[in-house]
Amino acid sequence: MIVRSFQNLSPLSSNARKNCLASIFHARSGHPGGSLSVIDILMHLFHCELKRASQTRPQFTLSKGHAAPALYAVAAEVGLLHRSELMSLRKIGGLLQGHPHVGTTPWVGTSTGSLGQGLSTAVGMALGYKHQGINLPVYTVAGDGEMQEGQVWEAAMTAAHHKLENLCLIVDYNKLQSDDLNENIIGLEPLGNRWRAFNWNVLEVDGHCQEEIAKAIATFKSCLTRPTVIIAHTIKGKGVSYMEGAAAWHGSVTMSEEELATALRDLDVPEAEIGSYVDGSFFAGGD
Amino acid sequence: MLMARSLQVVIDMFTPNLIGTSGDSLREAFGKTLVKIADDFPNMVILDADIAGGTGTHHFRKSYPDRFFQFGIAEQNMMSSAGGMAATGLIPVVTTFAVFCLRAIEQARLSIAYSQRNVKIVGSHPGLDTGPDGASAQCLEDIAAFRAIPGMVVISPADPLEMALATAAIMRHVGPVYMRSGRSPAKRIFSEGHKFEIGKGCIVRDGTDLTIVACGAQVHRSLEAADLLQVRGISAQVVNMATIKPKRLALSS
Repeated sequence: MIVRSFQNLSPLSSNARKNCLASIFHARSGHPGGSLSVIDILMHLFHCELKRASQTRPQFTLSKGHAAPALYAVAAEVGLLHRSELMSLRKIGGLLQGHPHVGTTPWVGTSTGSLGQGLSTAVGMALGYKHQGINLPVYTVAGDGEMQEGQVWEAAMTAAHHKLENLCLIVDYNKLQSDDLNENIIGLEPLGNRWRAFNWNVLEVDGHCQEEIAKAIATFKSCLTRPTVIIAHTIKGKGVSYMEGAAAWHGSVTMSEEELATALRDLDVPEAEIGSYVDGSFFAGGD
Repeated sequence: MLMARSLQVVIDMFTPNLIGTSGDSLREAFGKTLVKIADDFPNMVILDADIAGGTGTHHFRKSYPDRFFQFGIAEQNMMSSAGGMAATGLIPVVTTFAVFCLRAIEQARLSIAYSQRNVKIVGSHPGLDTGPDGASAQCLEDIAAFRAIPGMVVISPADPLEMALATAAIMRHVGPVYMRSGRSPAKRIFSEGHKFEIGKGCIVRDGTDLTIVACGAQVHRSLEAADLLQVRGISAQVVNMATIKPKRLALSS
């Protein structure tokens, strides 16, 4: 099982990683591990698939709501949020709650943070569009630990029964949850076969490889008979040496200045710019 | 639509219209009203967890099968999915027993109320009104629990006529609603001219010594209690407070 890797990432995802970590640092709490594992997936969805996503026709839910810092950082990269808003994360009166809220970020289809519900909501959205003859795919991203929620399998049964070919679930399979490896909490394997047994179209990809994600999304769109689950194998804490593969960085954690600086160095931020992330001046003003 | 209308005529010919008559239950009134108002609310869809016969929605299923969605015995998924369907512009009516609404209350809180979705939740078999099913099917907690959710309107109509009026009223209201129906035959309290308005209670019996405030099936029982008190020389006023939340203090007589 691969729970560590360290490699260069695409520039947009790399920016999102830096900004995501800085927002968690300034919030003094948040979930960095599962944010870094899911960020390439979210970047692909928002950059390539959800460009026309709107409040009136939502197509996305973040079922693993605790990865909100990644979602917000990605949203800032694709122009859904002003970069300066990232400094409002988890602050009283701020726009960005610790978990996504449809009331303040209407481009999510539902408020999340209680695991399992974002998938069911996406099932409802897919069913709703299908019923009204509206041809729109619906995407939802869930965590691996989330598969322990019974509601996930209620949703799995329902989506397959109603043949929701317009529904795509992506599982951020970083193998770690809050306390430990999945297999030491409640094991998920054989995860792919479980979804196959529930009559879903099952694809497995490297969740940090944009080409593999794109290929899987294309396969999802060509599957016209059943819902699709993309099991994305990822690295928890991806891109930051000391966070990779460490359950301790699941969160919610407070990052020290030194920890942020080390993480930014891992992400190739020039030494001279690190201070602007630490004091927040990087996020002030226009973007 | 023509097909649906002529089908409706046939159904009406063979189905006695019991709404507002003695012996009808609130769930029957609810289910039959859904059929009557279906054309007024074309975005209304009904969600069921395999107990349509118990909640009264089998009438709607028969008349509008394409707007009736089966979720199986999986209430938590049904509740969250309703929030998702509402996000696409539909007005979902989630139906199951009151105790199973309670089972999915956290989904109602997050996926519906906090997400500001226009979903109606209607629970039958409330309180002790579960027939001989026993304590596990009873639900004493639903009104208190749903009332505590911010933004949730909570309604418990008193008789079949009021149930029919309330069913149309919650569809006109934009926002999440929890409404109780009822299993047992309900006594008729109101006559045809009765008005129902969300938030407003009404005086159903005048009295000078004390006031009984009730909702749902307890309104008729309160009227019976008032009769017993009258025998003892105590004059009891009875108020039907069909809306538990939000409440307006002014009562209509």
